[in-house]
This record gives sequence, C-alpha cells and structure tokens, in this order.
Amino acid sequence: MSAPALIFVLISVLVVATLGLRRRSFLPFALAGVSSGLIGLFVLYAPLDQAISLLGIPLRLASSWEILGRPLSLDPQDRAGVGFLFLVGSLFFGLGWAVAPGRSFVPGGLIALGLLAGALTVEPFLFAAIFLELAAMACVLILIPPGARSERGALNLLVLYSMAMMAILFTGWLLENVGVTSVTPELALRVILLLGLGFVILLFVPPFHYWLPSIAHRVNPYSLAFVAIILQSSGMFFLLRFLDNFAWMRADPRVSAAIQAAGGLMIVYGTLVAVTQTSFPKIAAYVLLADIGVSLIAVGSGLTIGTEIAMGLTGVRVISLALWALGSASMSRTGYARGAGRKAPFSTAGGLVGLLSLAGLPLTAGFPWRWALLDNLSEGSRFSMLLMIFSMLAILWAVLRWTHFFFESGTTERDDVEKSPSTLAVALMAGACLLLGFFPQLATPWVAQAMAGLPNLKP
Amino acid sequence: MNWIPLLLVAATATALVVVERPGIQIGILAIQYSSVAWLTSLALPPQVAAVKLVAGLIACGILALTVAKSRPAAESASGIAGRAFRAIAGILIMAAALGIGQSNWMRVPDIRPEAIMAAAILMSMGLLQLGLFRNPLRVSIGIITLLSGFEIAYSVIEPALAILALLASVHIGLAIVVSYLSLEAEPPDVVEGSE
Repeated sequence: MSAPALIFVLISVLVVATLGLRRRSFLPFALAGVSSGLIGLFVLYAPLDQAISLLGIPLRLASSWEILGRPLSLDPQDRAGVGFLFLVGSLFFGLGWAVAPGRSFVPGGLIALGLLAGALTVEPFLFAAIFLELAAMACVLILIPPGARSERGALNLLVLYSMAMMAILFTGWLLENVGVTSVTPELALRVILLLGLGFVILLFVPPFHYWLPSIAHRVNPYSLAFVAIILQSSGMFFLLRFLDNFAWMRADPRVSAAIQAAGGLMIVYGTLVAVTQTSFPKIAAYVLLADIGVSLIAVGSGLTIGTEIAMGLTGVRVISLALWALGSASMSRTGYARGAGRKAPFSTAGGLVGLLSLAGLPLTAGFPWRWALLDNLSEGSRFSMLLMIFSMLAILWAVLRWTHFFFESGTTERDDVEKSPSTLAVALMAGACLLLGFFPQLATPWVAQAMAGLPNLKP
Repeated sequence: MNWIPLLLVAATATALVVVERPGIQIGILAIQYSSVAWLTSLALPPQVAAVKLVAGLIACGILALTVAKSRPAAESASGIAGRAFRAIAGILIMAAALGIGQSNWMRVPDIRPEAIMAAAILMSMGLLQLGLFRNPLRVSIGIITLLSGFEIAYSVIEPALAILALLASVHIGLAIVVSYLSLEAEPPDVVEGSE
C-alpha cells in the first residue's frame, strides 16, 4: 500500500462522513480535528519505503502512488509541508466548533487540504498549479457557507488562481523542456516574469491581494483565516521548492531583488493601510500582508538562515492568525462596535493580541523569528530593518487605538455575548501564542524537518 | 476546414459578451467547447481531444441544471445601450486579438496558426468578460473562456493525459462551484452596473 493512496482514501471517507454529520454542531469538527492531526503526524513521522511490523502484521508503506501516469510522492522534501497543512487543519477543525464557521467548513476544508497535499506531492511539482486552482475552488465553499451571501471576493480568488495556474504551467514547460539556465538570459527573464506573476498571486502580493480585504468584513473571520493560512503557506512552500530545485534561479540576483522588493512593498502597503483602517476584520488582512512581507524579506535576504526564519514565521503565523480569528469571530456578535470589549472582553483581548503577534511584537509568538531576522540582516539591508521596525511600531499604535475604542468606558456592560467554548479556545490559543513567544525553540523541530527537505537552501 | 472552428470560436466568444439570457449563454458555451475540442485535435489524437469536449459538456450540463433550478434573477437593466457597449468592447478586443494572433505570440513550437489565433481570441475575450461581469455564472464563463484559450496552446506542448484530465476537472470544478453559489448561497447584494 502507498502512503499517498492511504491519505487519499482517508480524506475521501472523512469528507463523506463529515458531510453526513454536517448538521451536528460538534461531531464533524471533532472527527476532522482528530483525524487531520493523526494524518499530519503520520505524514511527518511514519517510516516509508521500509518494512515495519504493526501489531505483528508485516507492512510496507510506499512513499509514491502513481495515478494517470503521474506519481504523487511523499518525499522527505514534501513531508514537512504536507504534515504542516494537516496539523493546521487539525487545529482549525478542532477549535472551529467554538465559533461555528458554517456547515461547509469541515468538508470543504478537508477537500482543500487533500488538494493542497496533492499540490505538494505531485511529480513533476510544476503541475501543482492545477491542484492549487482546485484547492482555491474548495476554499470558495469554505468562505461562502450555505445560506450566506455570495461574495465577489470569493470569485476574485478563483479568477486570480486561474491566472496563476496558467502562468506557472507555462513556466513549468519552459523550465522542463526548453532548458532555461543562466546562459539563456532572454528565456530566463521570461521565466522570471511569468513565475513572478504566478507567485505574486499565490503570496497575496499587492495588488493581487484584493480578494482578501474585500471579503474580510463579510465572511466569518475564522474561515477567512483558515483559507488565508493554507493557501499562503502552500504558496510559500511552492516558492521555496522552486528556489531549491533551480540553481540558476537561486544565483540570479534579479530573483532575490524581486522577492525583497515584493516583501518591502507588502510591509509598507500592509502597514499603512492597516493603521488607517476603520474596519476591525479588515485590519488583520493588512497586518497579514505585512507579516508575509517579512517572510519574503527573509527569503530574499540571501542569508543562510533566511529560509529557516521564513519557515518559522510561517509556522507561528498559524497561531497568531488562529488567535485573532477566534477572538474576532466571537466579537462579530457585538458588531465590532465601540465598547465591544466590555461585552466580550476575552474575545476582544484575543483578537488584539493575535494582531500584535502577527505584527511580531515582543512576548508574542511572532517576535522571536522577527528578532532573529533583524539580528541577522546585514548593513546593506538597513532599509529592510527600518521597514520592519516601522511596521511593528505602527501596528502597535493601531492596536492601542482599537483597544481604546473597544474598551472605552461609559458604554455597554458585559452580557452573554461570549460563550464558554469560544472563551476557552481563545485562552488556549493565547497560551500557545505566549508560550511560543517565550520558547520559540518549540517550533524548531518542525522547521528543522522542513529545512531537511530543502537541501540547497539549508544553512 | 480548420478555419471553421476558428470562426466558431470568434463568434461564440463575442456572443457570450453580448447575450444576456443564461440558457442561451450555456448553449453558446457548449458550441465553444466543441470548437475548442476541434482545435485541440489539431495537435492531439481526436479521442484524447474528446476528453475536453466531454468535460466541457458535463460542465455545461451542470450549469444548465443550475440555471433551471435557481430563482429567476432580477432583470438586468443594461438594455440596448448596455448590449451595444459590450458589443463594441467585444469588437475592439477581437480586433486586438486578431492582431496578436497573427504571430506565434506564445512562442509555442509546432502550433498551427488557427490554434494560436483561437488562443489569442479566447484569452482576450475571457479577460474582457472577467472585467465586465460580476454575476457568478458570467464570471465562471469568463474563466472558462480564458482557460480554454490557454489550453488550446498548452495541449500542443503538454499532451499528457494526466494534465488533460486535471484541466478537465478544473472546468467541472468551476461549474460545481458556480452551481453551489447560485443554489446554496444568497445572491450578492451588488447591483450589476455593468450588465
């Protein structure tokens, strides 16, 4: 039996089971959360391509599964990424019942995770673009649950991912068949431009981010956070695989300059729009852009530790965004109105701390990795350092302003807006956020495994 | 003979911009899929190119069922002026596409001139539809038109069955998503100014 086939069967069964249970409030979330966690751990740690004995039964799990002539391979290169996605799924499914993100959240989420796992494991990996497009379709089902209003932003996501798919597929052909190297400058430039178009969409680089804030204040924040995390993380893994696989691309100074420029643009744009926002759900979309920008600065910095920092940031972003989403989803019952913090103090505090963590403020999960980047950036990257510090301070100011707005005295008193499950979920994530802020080494085993799959980018 | 699907592609892509009734749009889309399959068969064996036709017709079937089941949408207020505007925009874009399609603009080796011209027309008209419309059905038809143009050229350079099947699943997936948005979700509250 092959491991990818086993995962495919498991996900199919889970999708059917959770569709059958979709009217229950707790069971589908618990089932998907536990199963997704087990699949994640299996992907990360199961011994593949070697004989093992399970309860006395001899067993050999193959890492590859051929379908229509193309293998899906769970190579060491892919295992950290695929495992990460399923662990993200486990976290979001497990806590999702507390904020009721909609009936399509669990089955749609499982389909999206399965497709993204396909994207990371398909050989040659350039065909991943089609799986990413299909995953974007599943994400539309998550964002717009049955009965919710259809939003143009969700359709924009499909339009953008279709364009990214075409750009990456065409680039894939150029890379595989035409033999692009550094000694074919015209073709190399064409590849860089086409790939650039694909990746700016996958990594939400402005102006291709517009689907995100346009629906941020209309859909459930929890669903949006899940979709943003899984799509953006897959885009980041995909980018790193490209850089790892093609030496000429790593060596081309235009590539690293473009990545750094995109990162800088995201930090400046995300920060400036975030501080001027009048909508609380939208602010997170822009702070997220600034955070992704920091990851791109790390990737494009040329530092030997840069990729490791980008991976670390990708990992802790899940915690920060989940905390914001849990808080924000509970706060939505208050309409994010003035004094909402007095009605729902835990949720509001959770949402605000989640933003601070996304911005990389001290004591939160996002800080240690940013600090590592700031510490390692050289004299030549002083501008990037200044941008990062400016972003942190500006977002801190914006969060303080929102804190004053939500906790302003003389407004409404506390009522039963906060349910105990959501309060518990917020407390759990806040604890995780602080824990990773104080002990960032807790995330390093996963980062080390992810880096083992990227031998050419490894320090 | 190969100019027949090219003419059909040009006619259907323009008609999809102008025609407003969803049922007729889906009929036109089915003709467009047939033309695309014909053009694809210039590079692939006909039985393989038929995969595109079958997938396209399945997508059209899903869309047709959706249109039949969904609540009748409020009449768009575009009128003759709106249709005339879209027709003129379509003609202008078509002229640009005919100019681009004269040469092998995608630099795909061994591609027939009819195929590269059809790719230019479909991709241009698909982009026009995406720019003009906000309604899920019309946006999905725009994406399908855009993808069909790309696939005519891509099938020349990547004839693998797996890719063909995956791309076919994208078309069916799009139809399912639009069906879901039309039947399960509430209609958007945005006024279709451009339609």
